Amino acid sequence: MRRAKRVLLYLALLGGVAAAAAVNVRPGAETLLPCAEAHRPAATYPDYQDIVIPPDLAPLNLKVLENGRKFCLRLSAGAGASVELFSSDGKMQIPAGPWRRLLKANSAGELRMDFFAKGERGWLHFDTVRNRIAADEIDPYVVYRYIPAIYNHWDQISLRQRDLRNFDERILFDNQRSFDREGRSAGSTCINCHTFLNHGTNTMLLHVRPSQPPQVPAMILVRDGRAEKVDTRDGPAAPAAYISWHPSGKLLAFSRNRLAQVFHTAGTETREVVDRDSDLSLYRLDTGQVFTVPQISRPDRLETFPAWSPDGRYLYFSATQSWSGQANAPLHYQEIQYDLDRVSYDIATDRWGAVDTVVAAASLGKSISLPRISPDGLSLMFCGHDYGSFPIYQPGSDLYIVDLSRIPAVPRRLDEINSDRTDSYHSWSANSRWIIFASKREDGMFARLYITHLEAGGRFSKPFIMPQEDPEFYGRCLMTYNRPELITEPVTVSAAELTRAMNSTASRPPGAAAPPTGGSPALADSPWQPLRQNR
Amino acid sequence: MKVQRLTAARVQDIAFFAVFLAYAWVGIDTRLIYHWQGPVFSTLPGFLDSFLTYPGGPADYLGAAVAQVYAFQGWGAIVLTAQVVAVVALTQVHFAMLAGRALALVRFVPAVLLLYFANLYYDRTPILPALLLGLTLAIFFVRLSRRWRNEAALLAAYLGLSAAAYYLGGMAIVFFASAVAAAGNARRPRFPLWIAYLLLAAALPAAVELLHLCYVPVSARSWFAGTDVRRIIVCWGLYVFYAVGAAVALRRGSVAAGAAAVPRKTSRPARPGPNGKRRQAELPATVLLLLALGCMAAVSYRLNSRDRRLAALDYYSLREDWPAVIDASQRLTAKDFNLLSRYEVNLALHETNRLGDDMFRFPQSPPALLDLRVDMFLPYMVRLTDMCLRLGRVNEAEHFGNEAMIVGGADPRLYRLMALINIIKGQTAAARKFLTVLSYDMVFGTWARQRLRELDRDPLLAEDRQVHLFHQRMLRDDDMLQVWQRADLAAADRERLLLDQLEQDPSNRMAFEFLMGVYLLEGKLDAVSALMPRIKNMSGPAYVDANGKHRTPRHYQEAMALHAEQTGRIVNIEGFEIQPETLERLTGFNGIVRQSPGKEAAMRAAWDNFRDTYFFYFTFGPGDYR
Repeated sequence: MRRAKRVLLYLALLGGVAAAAAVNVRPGAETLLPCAEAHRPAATYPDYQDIVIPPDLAPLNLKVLENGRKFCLRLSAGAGASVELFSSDGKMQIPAGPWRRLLKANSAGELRMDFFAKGERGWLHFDTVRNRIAADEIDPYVVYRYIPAIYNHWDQISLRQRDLRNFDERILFDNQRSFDREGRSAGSTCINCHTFLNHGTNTMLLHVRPSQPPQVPAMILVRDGRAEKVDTRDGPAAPAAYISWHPSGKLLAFSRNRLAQVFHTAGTETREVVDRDSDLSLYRLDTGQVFTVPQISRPDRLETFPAWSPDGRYLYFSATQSWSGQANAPLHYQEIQYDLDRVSYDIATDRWGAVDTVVAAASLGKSISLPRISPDGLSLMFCGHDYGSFPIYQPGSDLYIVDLSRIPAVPRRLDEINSDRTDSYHSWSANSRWIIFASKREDGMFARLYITHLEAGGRFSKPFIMPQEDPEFYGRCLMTYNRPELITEPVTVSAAELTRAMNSTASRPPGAAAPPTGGSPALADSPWQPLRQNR
Repeated sequence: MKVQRLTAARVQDIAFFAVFLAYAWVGIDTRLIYHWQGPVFSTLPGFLDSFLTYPGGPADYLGAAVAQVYAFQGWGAIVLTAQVVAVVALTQVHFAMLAGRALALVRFVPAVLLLYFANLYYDRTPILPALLLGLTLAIFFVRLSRRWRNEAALLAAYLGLSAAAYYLGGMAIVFFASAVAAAGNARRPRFPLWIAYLLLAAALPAAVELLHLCYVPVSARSWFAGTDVRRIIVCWGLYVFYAVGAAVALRRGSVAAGAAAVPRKTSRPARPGPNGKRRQAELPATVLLLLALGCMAAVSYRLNSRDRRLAALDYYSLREDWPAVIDASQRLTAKDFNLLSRYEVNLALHETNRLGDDMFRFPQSPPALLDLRVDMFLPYMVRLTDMCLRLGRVNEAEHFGNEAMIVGGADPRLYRLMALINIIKGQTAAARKFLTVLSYDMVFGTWARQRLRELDRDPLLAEDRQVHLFHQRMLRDDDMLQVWQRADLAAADRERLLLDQLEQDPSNRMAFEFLMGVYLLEGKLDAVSALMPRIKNMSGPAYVDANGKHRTPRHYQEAMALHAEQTGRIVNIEGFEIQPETLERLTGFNGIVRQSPGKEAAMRAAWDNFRDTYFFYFTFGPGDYR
């Protein structure tokens, strides 16, 4: 009997604790009255003020950067219970449950954040921060490369998937810690250009660039959880680089680039990548055939960055004059600017149209790279930068948008989201309402991911950094976030399967041995050499 | 009687470990272990996580934590000795349990092997934590085996403890298994359970690696195999000692009958006999022990002296203790004057304003600068990054610093350099990130926090003398194409690189002196002559004497004298003329060379008076003329 009483007592205590948690009573909680007004917003890191939040996003944990010995954050909205958090060091880690309930109850509504700091004279209240909760959901996952500042060596590269609804991060592949089922790693392989078909993960691909022979650079094609290694080289031509899926899933457009990496000895950015030669090619998935057509592989042009329109009727790409025949062309690499072109295509008849220039570099005064079209087909976003085709190493790289219903288009620089540092790789959400992009705005060195919402008037909301569980995480993270891709479902292929495919012998498509039809000839090696590579 | 015996053993312990401590302090100098190994340890949130993902990770973590103390010579010696004391104490307990009596001098064998291991400055194997863990678990298991009757339960306990030993300590499983096998043999002499114990212990790491059950950064095969014989001797020595030692102890002990007999805690006398005889025997034994330790220390010191000398040179160089660098270089053999050590000596001479006067007192050969390439040896990369920064090649410093972090891992010295590089480039936010990470480092943390406070006050550290100097030297005009991309070059154009630095900052003394060094080493007298007018922009004791008058460093005068002899004209720069004594010395040198029948004879004849001159190097080529 006594034992039963004791059990009951314990249960009652447990219930009390649970009830306290449910009504958000937390240790350190106290009354915030009386409090004085600061008449200014509180300084926080990250800056989550005046932003638009996806309705299913993980808590916006942050740190209050004000003086004080105690801090409070009160979250409130039109509907649902408010949440109060207290902290002695300013770190506010918002509990997931109440946060989620608050967002769900106030979709398309306002979320208020009230910050308080307690000093010698009592509590001080800062201006209320009013953020909007969007009705549009963002894709739940983002896949990105998590890498150090890479020069010639590429250890410590991993491909990761983050669940944006919480803080779960899964390592899809790590070039040091992933092994196939026989215990073999892929070595210090560089992985890049992960690309998904229509925001799904059942069909996807990525590229591998092994650190040493006999492995060859190749494409890892994933279908239904099974990975296959495809050698897309033919003769002297380079392997596939930038890739775009035709929305039918039957065709891939890819560029072949002969890139050279060199290093600036003065200036902010140390690295430079120059594209010495490039063409576009196509890969037919049903026959495994690699081929090209004259429109996208002109001898007098460098074509790169393919991007299919969502209806599959146009292939957009960046292109510029080839430097063939210009002995000293590399010396003028800073004068090369790429146009945004497109070519029509009918998959039913396999017919290609003529090439149009959508945006001329000369008219913009910028080189155009990384065109990405919104899934609704209405807009195209690209990077505009001073020269060349490698925006991530150019501090002046900005994002631009083009209304595709008006061709020739007049691009608009997205001043509302750009910064004075590199803003580059961008990915649309499946509903075309959100963008996630990489930016070095914090320090000029390490790229972070930023989220922004496309508002009704065609403008974007103030971008905010992808939240982390520990708000101080970015302050001590010496890695860079690269090539984010929003997806609607989690990646299913395992790291072991990817590693197995990387270690396997690459299949060679039937058409791969033949030279590209009408493709521009590969440039003979000029004095322009990446002298420091492989030494 | 018992008290006297214990006291005598304590005397042995105290004498032994006092000598050990002294040797660890002076002979080993744990600062060099810290410096050469660069054990990375941080209190950064999440730092421990990666160590928990692989077998042996916790021991690596513990080893790295303890090794932070090695950065301080005295405390490092004390901590190193304390760990060895713990090993000896556990060894004593373990063998006493098996044999039923205390060990004699043999208990010090692991200490001697570990002393030798500590002299292998570069080896990061966390052998001490592994050994301590293995012995602790072995003792625990032997105690269990005496209390438990059930073989199945004991086997289960063994499997659990083996897994714990492997996960926590990696190679700890080896020491654990060998000790346990001996105990198993004692328990069931006729049933070869010990074989099963050993096989299971071997099977666990093998299964984990072959089936790839988890990430294993260093294969178990490397515990007892590898290219370094010295390390293999230590690992095998310890293993054999514990395996054979346990077997011998059991054979001699009284517990061989099985677990039922619980031994007495205190031991029987090793050699029964009258106390007087024992006391008489203990003094020579102690002396013998100390002699053996002394011999081992001497052998260890001798065998590993090259590592120590090179580590010391690099250590003092990184600490910018230039007189110590020059002092340490005196102990290097000619063979040890490799690219890195030669550069470090020349840097020390430059920093002490002696490069132009004393360069050829040390073995020299081209090139004067480090090769500008990525090397897998982390100290080389740290020094290369530092060299680029000092010259004003800040972007190259950033490049090589980043490469170093990839090939060498997270190293606090690199973070420090990267923070400085970013401060000089005006990238304060990036610098703060490196300093923030560094602030969690146990050795560099205080410095980093201080720097962060300074950045709060002055984001560009404009008042900092070093930052100001490097900022002044920093290249402003990109010379990528000229220095790195010329088709006729297999490497960077060092001459162009240094000249560009002089164009950027005509008072860049390092660029001037190293460019002069490049020309001198390559015997380019015309180039020396062409560079000489830039001496007017130089300042400091090397170029201005105590009376405030200009002076020309000795080797530059010697090169100019040789150039005058070759061309028949003297290039004089106002205030920096060639002294008449230099010309006289050249005449004297030439006379000796002309009168000698051959090169060897000429070298011998000129040795006493000219071996530290540029005349000697120019005539006879690179060599050790000390």
